Amino acid sequence: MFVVRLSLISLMVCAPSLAIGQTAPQTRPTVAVPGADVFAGAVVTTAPDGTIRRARHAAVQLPGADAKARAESFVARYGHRLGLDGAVVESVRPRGARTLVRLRPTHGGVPVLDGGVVLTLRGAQLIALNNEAPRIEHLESKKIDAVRAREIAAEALAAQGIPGAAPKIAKLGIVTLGPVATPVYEVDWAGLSLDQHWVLRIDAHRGRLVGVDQRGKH
Amino acid sequence: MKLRMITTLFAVALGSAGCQDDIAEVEVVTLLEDDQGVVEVDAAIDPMPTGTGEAWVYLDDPVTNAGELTQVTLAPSVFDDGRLTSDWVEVFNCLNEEGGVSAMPNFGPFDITVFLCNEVQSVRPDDDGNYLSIRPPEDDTDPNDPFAEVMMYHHVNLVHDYFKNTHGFAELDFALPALVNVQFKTEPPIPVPGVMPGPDGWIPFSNAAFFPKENWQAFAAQFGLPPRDKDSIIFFQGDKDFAYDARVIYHEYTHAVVGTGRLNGFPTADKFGLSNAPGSMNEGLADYFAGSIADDPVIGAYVGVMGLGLRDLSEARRCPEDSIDEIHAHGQLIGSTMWAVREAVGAEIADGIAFRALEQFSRTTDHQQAAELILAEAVDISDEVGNQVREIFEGYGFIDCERSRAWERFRAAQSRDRIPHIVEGSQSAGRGGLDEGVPAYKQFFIDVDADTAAVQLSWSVGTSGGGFGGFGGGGGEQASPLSISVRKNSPIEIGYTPRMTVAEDARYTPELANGGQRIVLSGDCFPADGGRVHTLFLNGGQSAAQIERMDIEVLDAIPEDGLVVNCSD
Repeated sequence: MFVVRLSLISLMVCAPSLAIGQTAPQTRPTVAVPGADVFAGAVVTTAPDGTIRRARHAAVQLPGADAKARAESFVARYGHRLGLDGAVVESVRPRGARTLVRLRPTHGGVPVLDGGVVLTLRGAQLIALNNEAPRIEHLESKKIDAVRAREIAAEALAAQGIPGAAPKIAKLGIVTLGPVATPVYEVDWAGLSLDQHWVLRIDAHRGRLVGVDQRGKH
Repeated sequence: MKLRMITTLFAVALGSAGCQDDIAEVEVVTLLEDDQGVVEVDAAIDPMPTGTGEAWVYLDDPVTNAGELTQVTLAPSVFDDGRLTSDWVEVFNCLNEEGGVSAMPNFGPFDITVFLCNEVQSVRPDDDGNYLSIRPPEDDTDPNDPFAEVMMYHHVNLVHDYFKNTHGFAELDFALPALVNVQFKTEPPIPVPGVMPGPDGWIPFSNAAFFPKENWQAFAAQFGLPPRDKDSIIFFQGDKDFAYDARVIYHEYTHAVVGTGRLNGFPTADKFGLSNAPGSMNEGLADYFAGSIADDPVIGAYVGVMGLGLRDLSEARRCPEDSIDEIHAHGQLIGSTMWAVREAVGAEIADGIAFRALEQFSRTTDHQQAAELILAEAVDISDEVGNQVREIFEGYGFIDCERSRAWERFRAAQSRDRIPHIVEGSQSAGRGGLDEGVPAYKQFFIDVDADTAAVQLSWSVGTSGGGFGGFGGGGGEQASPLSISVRKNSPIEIGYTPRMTVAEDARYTPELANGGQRIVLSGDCFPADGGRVHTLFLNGGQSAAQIERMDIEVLDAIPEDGLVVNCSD
């Protein structure tokens, strides 16, 4: 990634192409875009493909009656510049004069479980954003449904010495590996003691268990 | 409907009116009112006590405070009877008695009933309105002691006020349920590995946890119980009472502040391999804020933490050399880094930049992204602060870290954190598509001289249950042999474009024998003029592999037995 400061008056400078994982240089090259970019004057970090990953000191005026509506209007107008297929508002958090709006990216209407986007608003202005939404180029097909996902989870539980388990909750989401997105079901299972809550992740393309996560935070 | 007491109206003297000596009984009548007006006349409650809610607590914990209690003023109860509910916490003592919720979950051939302890608000003030009669029990393992309630109540109110008043955090502006002394039992008793019921059948746990409402949802669905609509923090009673350790309370509360939408979930994957950065930063920031609130970098002085002993954030942990595959231990990277920042710029600035950056984190923020967000907040304060923070980040390897550490003799049991290296399997990595094998969380490098003939590497391989650690089973899977990828001069680089690729010079899978593997590198495995060789473990099996032991030996000559490779075959 690299960092640019956008201003109204300067010349377009081609940024060097950096591989994924390379980090920002120590100094921030001040370059510009032609015309009146909506992020003019902001400190903007972009990915090699040009999507905006981070913006600070921005002043993007947004329509809408409240923070949620403003965030939604931002996604509708500028979501493509963040590489978003879609996003839903996950939370709205007032912090004095600022409001933080957390967005859950979606792909084809399905929530993307990796990454996320946080917008910082001050009144009707977007003043900062952090975009960690994964870049998706290819979506693997979903080959099983929630019922089969729960069965696979139950089989995995049985293999762990918990026969007869019948998980009740399976939620569909998308996870990514590089540019490849894979549909998964996350199946909840609670242990006997209150502190244990496992999420069994079932790869809905491959039809198999790919992970078990302990969601209780200790 | 919430009632509040508005006044004590009058006392009715029974007997001869006006004659004090003749008063046999005084009845105090109190009006209770709701928003619509007076609705009820209550009778026969005690006169209001005059105390101010004084109580004894450990300011930190029994060890740090050397057993010394301190008298504090508790936040006022919202109930007239003084039970420990404030606007920000309601504390329940989970008593080992009948009356708690029970369920008969479907365990196939087993017909069992699970009983949870009985959630009760047991503490009431003394006659003088204070709580000073409540002190620690003689035995810390007392499963019903009210002192745990008092500790929890005081310290949750304190940590709530810290986040609200310092950072404007208001999402926990409700009476957060907090359970202490939690135990459960089953009938008949069932064998759960690592769990030993006491003589009365109740099962002790040495742990504490943030329990979001999503957990309640899963738990309730599992056991046919009504769900709860609030997050909770739950403190168990085991060989120690976790509620006696204030910093553990702050740690769990910080998890509640972070919530489920940030730094939560399965490992991620980057060019060095898998990454547990999100989960580890959730733990490390919980430690950092706990230490900062206490103004002391030691976490878990009384209880130890997760059986790993205390964590001291003043001890530097750096990337890559302190990259650990367990999230609490690895959390010390951000924890100690931010503690160094705190020492340099002060608590107010350090806490502020950490919190404001955290607000922008996602579910899978990694160390690099976290470092850049914190640094940006620091630069916003001043260039001087920004430079101080950057210098510390670079010194700790918190930014721009190349996740490859030296291959050294390693014995997990004797290591700093007593934690083995982990290589996840296909059932624990959290994502499919890792067709070349699941890469380890970190790489190991070897520095060789120009005239090195051969280097023998060996390591143990065990199984850790395929991601079901603590699941109640343990897996029983056979450990699979690990592959080892080798690349001279540069770290092995994992790509996903779109299929998984591994930029490497060679890869081998030595035979797994007697719980270990061995390989001898030679020839083209080494840079011609000497230099660095990076290695990466890849796991083609289902279960996570544990590496308890690693050895390295530089050989004068190429041996004739064993797997000898030269990376050019």
